[in-house]
Amino acid sequence: MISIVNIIPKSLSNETHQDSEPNLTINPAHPLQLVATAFTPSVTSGANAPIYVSTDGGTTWALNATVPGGNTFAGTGDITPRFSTSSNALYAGDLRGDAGLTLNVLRTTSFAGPTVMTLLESRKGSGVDQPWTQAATNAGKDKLYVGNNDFNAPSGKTATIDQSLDALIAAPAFTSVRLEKRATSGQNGPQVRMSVHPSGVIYAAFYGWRSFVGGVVTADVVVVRDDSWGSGANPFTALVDSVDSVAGKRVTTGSTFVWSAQIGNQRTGGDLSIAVDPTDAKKVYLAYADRQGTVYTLHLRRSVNSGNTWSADILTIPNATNPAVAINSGGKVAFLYQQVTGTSPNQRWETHLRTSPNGSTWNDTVLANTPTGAPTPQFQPYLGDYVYLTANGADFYGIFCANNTPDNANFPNGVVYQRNANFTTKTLLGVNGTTPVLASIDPFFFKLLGPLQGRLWHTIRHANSTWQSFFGLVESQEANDPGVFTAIGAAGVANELQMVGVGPGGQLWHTIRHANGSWQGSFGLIEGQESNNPGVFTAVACAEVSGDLHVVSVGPGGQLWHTIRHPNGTWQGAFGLIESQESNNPGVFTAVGCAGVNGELQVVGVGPGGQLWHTIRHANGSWQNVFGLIESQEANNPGAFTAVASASVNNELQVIGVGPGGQLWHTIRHANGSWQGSFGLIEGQESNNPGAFTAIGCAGANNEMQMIGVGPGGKLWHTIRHANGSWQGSFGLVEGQESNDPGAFTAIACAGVGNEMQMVGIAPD
Amino acid sequence: MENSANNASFVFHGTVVQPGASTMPGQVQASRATAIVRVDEVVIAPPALASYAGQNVTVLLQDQERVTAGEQATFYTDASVFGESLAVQSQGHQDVRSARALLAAPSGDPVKNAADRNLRVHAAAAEAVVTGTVLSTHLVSAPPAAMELLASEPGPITEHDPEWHDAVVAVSNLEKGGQGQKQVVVRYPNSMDVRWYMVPKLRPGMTGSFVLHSAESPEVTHAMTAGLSASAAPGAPQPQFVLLHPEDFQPHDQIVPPAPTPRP
Repeated sequence: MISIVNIIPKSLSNETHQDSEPNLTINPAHPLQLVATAFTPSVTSGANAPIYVSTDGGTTWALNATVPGGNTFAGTGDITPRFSTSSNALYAGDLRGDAGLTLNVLRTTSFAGPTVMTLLESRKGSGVDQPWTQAATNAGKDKLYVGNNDFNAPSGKTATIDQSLDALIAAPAFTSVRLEKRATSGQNGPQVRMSVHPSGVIYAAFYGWRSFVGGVVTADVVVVRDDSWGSGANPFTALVDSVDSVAGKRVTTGSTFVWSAQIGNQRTGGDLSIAVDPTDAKKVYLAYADRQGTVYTLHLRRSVNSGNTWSADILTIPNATNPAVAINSGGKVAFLYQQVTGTSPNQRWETHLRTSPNGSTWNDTVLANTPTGAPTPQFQPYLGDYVYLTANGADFYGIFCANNTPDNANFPNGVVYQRNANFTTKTLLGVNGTTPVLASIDPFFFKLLGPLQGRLWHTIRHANSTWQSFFGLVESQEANDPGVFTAIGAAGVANELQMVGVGPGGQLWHTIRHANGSWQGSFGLIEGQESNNPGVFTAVACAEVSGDLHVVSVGPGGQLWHTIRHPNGTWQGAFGLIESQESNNPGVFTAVGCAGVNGELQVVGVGPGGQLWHTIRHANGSWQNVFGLIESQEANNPGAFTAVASASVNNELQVIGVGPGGQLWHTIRHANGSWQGSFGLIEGQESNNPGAFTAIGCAGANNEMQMIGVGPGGKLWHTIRHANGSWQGSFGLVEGQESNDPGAFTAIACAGVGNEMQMVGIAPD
Repeated sequence: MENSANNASFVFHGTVVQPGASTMPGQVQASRATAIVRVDEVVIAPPALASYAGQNVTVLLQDQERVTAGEQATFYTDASVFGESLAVQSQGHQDVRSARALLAAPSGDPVKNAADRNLRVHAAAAEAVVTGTVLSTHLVSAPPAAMELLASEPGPITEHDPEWHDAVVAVSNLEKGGQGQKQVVVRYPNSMDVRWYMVPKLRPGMTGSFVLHSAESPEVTHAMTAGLSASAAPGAPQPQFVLLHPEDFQPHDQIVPPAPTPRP
C-alpha cells in the first residue's frame, strides 16, 4: 500500500511559493522520524532556513527553521539531509542561502527542536555546487560523506566527496576526496551521488565531463568504489576500468546532453542515482541521463559484480528526469522518476514509482499526473534538480514535487493534504479555510510499505495430533494494534504462549495467550519497559528458561540484544548487548533463533556469509565467552544459511537452518556440548518436497521436535522429528488442517506449550 | 523596540488569550515562555502570513517577557514553527498606540507594508538611489585574454550561474548618493535560477527608482565571488553598482517611502 502526503503544514495554507527540489531522510533508528527539505523560503526574517520534520512516520509535518544562513526567497541553496544509521544524528550539506555557492556541512541531534544546526564545515573559495549527503554509523562512529562539485579542485577534476569518518565528535575533521582521475573539459558535472552499504562498501557516481562545446556536454558516466568506508590512503579507487586501467569504471563513454535545456519547464543537465543492495554489496543499480537523438532519456542499469561490468539498459525512459533508485532489505528495487508525456500544450508531468523483485519484471505506480505548464515557473529548477528515494527495512520512502492542485485525478493512488484544500472544487484554501489560494509547486512525501508485512495468525497442533480448526487473528484479541509486523518469536512459558513481534519502526511488541485460551488484553511495547533503546529491530527469537521469557533480537548493525521478562511480569531493566559478553564478534547478524536448554539460554545467529554462530547464557547470567561456529562442528557444510530456528528437546538443542535452494538442514547440540557430526537434510527424510523454504520455526513438544517451514507461495509445511530420531514420513500442509487461509505467510515462530505446539505466523491482512 | 520594528517579519496587533499555553502542543510545549495570542490585525507580514487575522498563534516569549490574559499589544515576531498551527518567536511587544506611532504603516496591506519597510531599510544602506530609465543591457563579457582562457577551459559551469548583465541607466534624478552622473552602469543577475530569480531583471525602457549597492561593498563582494562564468574572469570590467535585492528596482509609480520619524 502506498500513501502520499502533501507536506506543506496547515498553518502555511496561504503560501504560493515554488517549493521545489525536494530531499528526504528517515532515521533508521527511529523510523517515525523524518526530515524533508525543499526550496521553501524562510518565512521569517531570513536568519534561518526551514526544514520539514515529522515524528509520526510522515503522516503529519511541521516546518522548523533550524538551518543557518537562510534567505526569504528559497530558504537555502541546494540542500540534502541524512540521518546516520543508528546515532540519531541528522546531518545536512547545503549551499548557504545568504551566500553564493558556499558549502555548509551541518549536524543536529535534536532535529525537531528549535536549536539551530551546528556548523561542522564551511568553505567556498571558487565555489562548491550541489552537496549530496550520505551518512552511516559503524563501530560507534558516524561516517559522513558529502558529494559535491568543487570548483576549488585542481586541474578541473571537480567531482569530490568531503568526508569525515568520525562526524559525531565536537569538531570533526573533513577530507576532500577527488574522485576524477582522468582529464576533464575543465570540470565535472554537478551530480556526485553515493550509496553506502552497511559493510563499508561505498559506491559513487559522477559525470566525467570530457568536452563542453556550444552548450553540449560530452561525458563519461563514471562509478567509483571504496571497500572500507573511504578510510584508506587512496579512497574510492577500488574499482578500476578494464580498458584504460584508471580508477573509476566508465559505465558509458561519450554520453551527451544539452546543458540547461528544458523538458516540461524543468531544466536538465544530467541526472544520476546509485543504490547498492543492502543484502549484497556486489549488486548495485545506476540511473543516469543522456540525450538519445534529441530526447533527454533516463537509463537504469545494474552490476552484480561490484561495478566491474554493467548490464545494458534494464529500463529506458524517454523525456524523463529526476531518477532515484533504492533497494530494500528483501533485495527489491524501486525506481522513482518524473516523465513528460503528451504533446504541447497539454503535456503532463507523470511521477512514476517502479518496483521489481529482481530487476526484470516491474510494477508501475503513478504517484502524480500534473500539468507541465501550470503553475508558471517562478524560477529554475521548476520541480527540482533531484528527488529522493530510500529504503528502510522492507519499506520505501520517497519525495517529489508537483503541482499542488487538490484534484484527485492528479493523484491516482490517493493523496492527503495538511494544508487547507477543497477536492470537490479543486481549490486550495487559505488558513481561514475559505479564501482561495493559487496553485503552486509543493513537495509530496510517500511511503510504500514493503511486502514483508502483515498480521499475526495463530493456530495449535494439539497433543492428539489434531489441529485447531482455524487460524486465529491475534490482533483481534487485543485492544491495540501496533500495525504491520515483520518478524516474530514465540515461546511456551508456564503453560502460556508468549510471543514478541517486530512491529512498525522495528519496535518489539509482546503479548500472551493464557492457558485458558484468553489473550492478554493488549500488546505491550517492550522498549517501554527498558531504560535503553538499541533502535530498529529486524529479527527476534524467544525462549523459556527457568520460568523466564528470554528475548533475543537483531538490532541496528546486526547486533544481538537480549532481555528477560520475569514470571511476575517485570522486565530486565535494559537490553544487554550479547556481543559485549563475547571475546569475538562474527559481524552482522541477519537472523536469530534461541531455546532454553537445561536451564540455559542457547542462541544461534546467522552471521556474515550465512554462517551459524552459537553461544550460551548460563543459568547464573554469565555468557559463554565466545561465539562458536557451528559449521566447524560439522563434517559437512550446506552453504550460506538465510534463516534459523532452535528448539529444546530432551535437554538437547536442535537447530534447523534454511540453506541454499531453500533446503532445510538440521543438527543437534547434545547435552554434553558435542554436536551431531553433520547437518542432516530434512527433505531427505520426507517423501514429499514442497520446494524452497524461506522461513522456519520449530519447538519441542511432547518430547518431539516439531517444525513448520514457509514454503513456496507462503504455504506452511509441518513435520516432526520423533524422540527416536526418525521423522514423520512427509511434510503436512498446515493450511490443509484449517478452515481459513490468511494468505502467503512470510514469517513463522513455533513454541511448545504444555503438550501442544503453537505457532504464530505473519501473513497479509 | 525600534530595532524590532525594523527587523521583525511578522508584526501584528493581538490579544493574549492564555499565557503559558500552546496552540500546537505536539510541536511546541506549553511553558511560562509561551502564550496563545489571537491575531487581531496583521501589520507587517510576508504573503504566507498576511491573512492571519482572527487566528490564534503561539508566541514564544523572550526571557523576562511577560504577558497577561486579555492584554492587547503589538507583537514583533518572526515565524518559528509551522504545523497544525503557528508558533512565532517574539522580539518584544508594546502597547498598540505606541506601536502605531513607531510603525508608520498606513497601508492596510501587510505585505505592502513589509515591502515598503524593506525598501526603506535597503535604501538606507544603499550607496545611491536614483530614478531613471534603462537605456540598454548586455551580457557581461570577459576581455580577450580571458576569452582565450575560457576557450580551452570553460571554467566553472553551474546551474547557479547568475548570468551577470550590465544595464546602462540614464539618471533623471539623484535621490541619494552619487556624484551627479548622467548615466550609471548597473550590474544585475539575469538568471532565473533559484539563487537569483528574485533580483529585478532590467530591460531597455524600464523607468523607475534604482536602489544601488556599491560593487565594492562587502555585501556585494560576498554575493558575487563564486567563480561564476565570465563575470569572474580576470580583467573583466567592474560595474559601479549592483542590484541584489527584490526591492532594488521600483517601477516609476512606486516611490521610495520616507523613513518614519519615531516619536518619543
